[in-house]
Amino acid sequence: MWRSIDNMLFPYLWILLLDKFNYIYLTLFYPVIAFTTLDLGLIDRVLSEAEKRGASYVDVRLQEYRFEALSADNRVLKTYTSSIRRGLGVRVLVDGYQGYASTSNLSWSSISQAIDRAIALAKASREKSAKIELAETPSIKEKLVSPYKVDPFTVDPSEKARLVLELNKEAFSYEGVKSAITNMGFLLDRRIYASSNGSLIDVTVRLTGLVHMSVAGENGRMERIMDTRSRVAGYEFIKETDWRDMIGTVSKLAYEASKAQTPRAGPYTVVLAPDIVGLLLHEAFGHASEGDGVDAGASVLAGRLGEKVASEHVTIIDEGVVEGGYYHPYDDEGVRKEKTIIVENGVLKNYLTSRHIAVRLGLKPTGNGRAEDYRYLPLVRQTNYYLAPRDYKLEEILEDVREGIYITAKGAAGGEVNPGTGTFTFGTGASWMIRNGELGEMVRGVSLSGMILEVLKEVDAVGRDLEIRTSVFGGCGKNGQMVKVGFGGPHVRVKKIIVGGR
Amino acid sequence: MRIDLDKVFARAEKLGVSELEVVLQENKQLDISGVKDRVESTRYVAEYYLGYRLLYGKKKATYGATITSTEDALRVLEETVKIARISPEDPYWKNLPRRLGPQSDAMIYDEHTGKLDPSEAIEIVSSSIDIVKDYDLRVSPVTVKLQVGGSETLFANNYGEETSRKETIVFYMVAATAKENGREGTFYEYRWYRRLSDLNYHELSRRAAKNALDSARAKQLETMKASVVFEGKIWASILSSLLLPAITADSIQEKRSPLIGKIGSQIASDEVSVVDDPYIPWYYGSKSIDDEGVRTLRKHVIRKGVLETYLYDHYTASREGRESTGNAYRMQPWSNPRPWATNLVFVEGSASMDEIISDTRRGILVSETIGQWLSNPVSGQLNATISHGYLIENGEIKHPVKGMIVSAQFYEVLAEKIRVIGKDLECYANTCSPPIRVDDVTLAGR
Repeated sequence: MWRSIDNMLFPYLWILLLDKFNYIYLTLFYPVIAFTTLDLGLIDRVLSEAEKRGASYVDVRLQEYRFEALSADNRVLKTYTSSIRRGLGVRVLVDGYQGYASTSNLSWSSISQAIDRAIALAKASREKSAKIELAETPSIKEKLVSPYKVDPFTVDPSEKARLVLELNKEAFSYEGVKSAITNMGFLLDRRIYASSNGSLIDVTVRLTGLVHMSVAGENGRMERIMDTRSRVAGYEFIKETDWRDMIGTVSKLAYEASKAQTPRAGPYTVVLAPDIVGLLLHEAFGHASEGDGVDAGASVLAGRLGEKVASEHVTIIDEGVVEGGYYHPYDDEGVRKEKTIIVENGVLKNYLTSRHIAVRLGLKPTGNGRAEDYRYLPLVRQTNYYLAPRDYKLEEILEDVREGIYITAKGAAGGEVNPGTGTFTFGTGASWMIRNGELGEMVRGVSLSGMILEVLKEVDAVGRDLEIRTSVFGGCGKNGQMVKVGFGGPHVRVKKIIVGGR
Repeated sequence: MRIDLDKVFARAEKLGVSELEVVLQENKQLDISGVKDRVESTRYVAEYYLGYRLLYGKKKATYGATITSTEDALRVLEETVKIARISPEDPYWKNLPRRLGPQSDAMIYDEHTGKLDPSEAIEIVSSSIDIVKDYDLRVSPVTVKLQVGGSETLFANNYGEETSRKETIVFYMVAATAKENGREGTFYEYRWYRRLSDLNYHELSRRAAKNALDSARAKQLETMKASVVFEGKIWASILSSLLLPAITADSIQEKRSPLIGKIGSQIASDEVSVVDDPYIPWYYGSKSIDDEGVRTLRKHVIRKGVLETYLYDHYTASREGRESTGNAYRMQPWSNPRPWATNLVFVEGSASMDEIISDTRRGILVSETIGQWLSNPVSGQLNATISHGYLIENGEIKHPVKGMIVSAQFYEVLAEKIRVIGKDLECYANTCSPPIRVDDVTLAGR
């Protein structure tokens, strides 16, 4: 359950075939949406009907999910894909036992069947299961829409097609570029949560982004470099961003990287750029701080509240709404997501929790009960997980390094962790050797690995330049569910981490 | 639910659509999760998806939706038309597949699995928990997950062709944790099946428990060069990240593969053969029609080290004026298809795992990796972090290891460094392999 696979930044090249039943949609393979408006009257009917049929507690999630993606591949618009998905999921407690059922068919007969199934599952698990207790939450009525100026779904499709093709062609004006993909993606996710304690929370998020990959090289030595930007915003984000600059940088780096060497394998001092420090944090600490893993004894952080788990430079925060991150004011259990301090000056302060896990651990719910969509029960997930900035300048961080590697995310594909054993890994992009405080030659992107309880103790300098990112294309996967997350931090120096290589 | 396809095709014709492909899929899924000592969540999902691939000449759009009626399907059609009309032409487009295969007859649907009673599924999860608990006092269950699904997919097009595929699938995972002398370890065992009767949860639960205990004793070693013995499932997962994306025709045509122009060339040592085989009964990737409804076929991808073919769907095949190899794959019913393997099988040799180990002077046996999918199929750079392995010295297993990164050039490994190919296939979803031993590999450590 806590085996976690993350592919947040550059998901394109990864297609993990975890099939239709346990899949991970990452990527350019597009989730979904709706042309008729959702019938809110359904919700009250589900709540009262489920109670009538024996549920002591009910919550309902009604969702509309719309996705559009355009893919320009080597100067040709290969796909223009749209999808619309709607569905409803109902969770019941019957005598304290939990059952869940969902349907994409919003006719009453199908919904009614889902209620019956949820109740039947709750009853069927009575013998082998334990009772579930959910932390009380205040009854909340709120409707929120993430900020945007121009709804991307109303922009003329031909305008988007023209722009993505034009940007794709730009890559071929750089030396050595053999292949280039440019994808534009737009997401609209409306989630309506209601429960038998009277909450009705309706949140709509729009997420917009673009990813570009150039493949360059000569004589069979090729390398790929990718970069991406996404923002909780509308089409104005596409208009206001300098994509040509990003594509130029990526294309030049790809050619340079194709001629670069892989570093020698072994432990190094590394300086991580803000675009990749979030990935380190997410893998090296984020998953292990999720309360469900802690409860199950599958996290090396279990039982360590109040202990020093990182150097005093390290403060880690999980926050629902933050500049650059994903928009997550409420979780999928009706809990408001506040700012949660996980680590403060190196000391473990809190775990992330859902309503059920909060009760199990004797903590408060932190608003981290999140589900991929209406088909799933919430799990404990990160929202925007980041390292708080300190006051170092980049030059100061570099100047004490005799030999090390400066690492960026451009070309990295993601990371993975086993929180119970403590081993984590993540991929890196374009990187440069550091010698006597100065950047030297470029080296190819490799994998880094470390142990959860060791690596953050090795952090000995934290920069002032905080940057948080999210992605319309990628996401964080856990137990078969993908959710959107944000992560980031400033420049960070890690005294010792293992680098794969020659 | 029944959608009136005649109405859909008639409306498309009226709108001047030149080609239309419809995919309809009905999914049902039962999902039981156990945590620690209890069954914690039970879940049932019912979904009905529609996917269109629609053409005006060479102008194309794809659209997907959850639908409840034929009226919904017609509305989605109008939306799709709007986008296709303004799309720039795809100069490589020829046509949709004109001939679809007969209704699926591969052995991938099991009646008992498709109609599973929830209480039987709950029993499996709960027994797995008990097996892990009873294994050793130092070991506890972390989580057990059983997902059982059934789906029926229909493919139809405006050339009057229609075919369908019915299948079941089972995903099982058991995780255990162990504590010993203040040290901790966790192990995740997971497998895919087509029918429940192939699931031996007793054995998998015991294996998770044993490996968790080993993992609590694991040491991190210093950087070294050594032999690496990959268990079949682990090598299979590496093939799915490095070889499979490099042999699909789209990667070749779009110049993102190191195997461009290598058909007929020796890319691996003589002992290496790889087949794409859709007809192995009850395997994850088996199918007699692909995700465009085209008949599949068995073929060698690599025969005795020589690359024989790439994998094609209809689009990439018609770009080269050839026939599809029946390898169309759709991530979702509404995704644009792309070529992908059915079952990609690294052909077995004859050595048993015991023989491979006893023949190894100094090496690491790899039982679990993380991040192997971070490997780079464009450059051929293999990266995988060992989260669970064993040190082998003089033919014997010495102690568990963890936290080392395996790095290598994949094509150098295929051509020069594979020393032994074992027997007994294990699969990682649709890639399958026996255990293999690779020599002279760099392992980054402490």
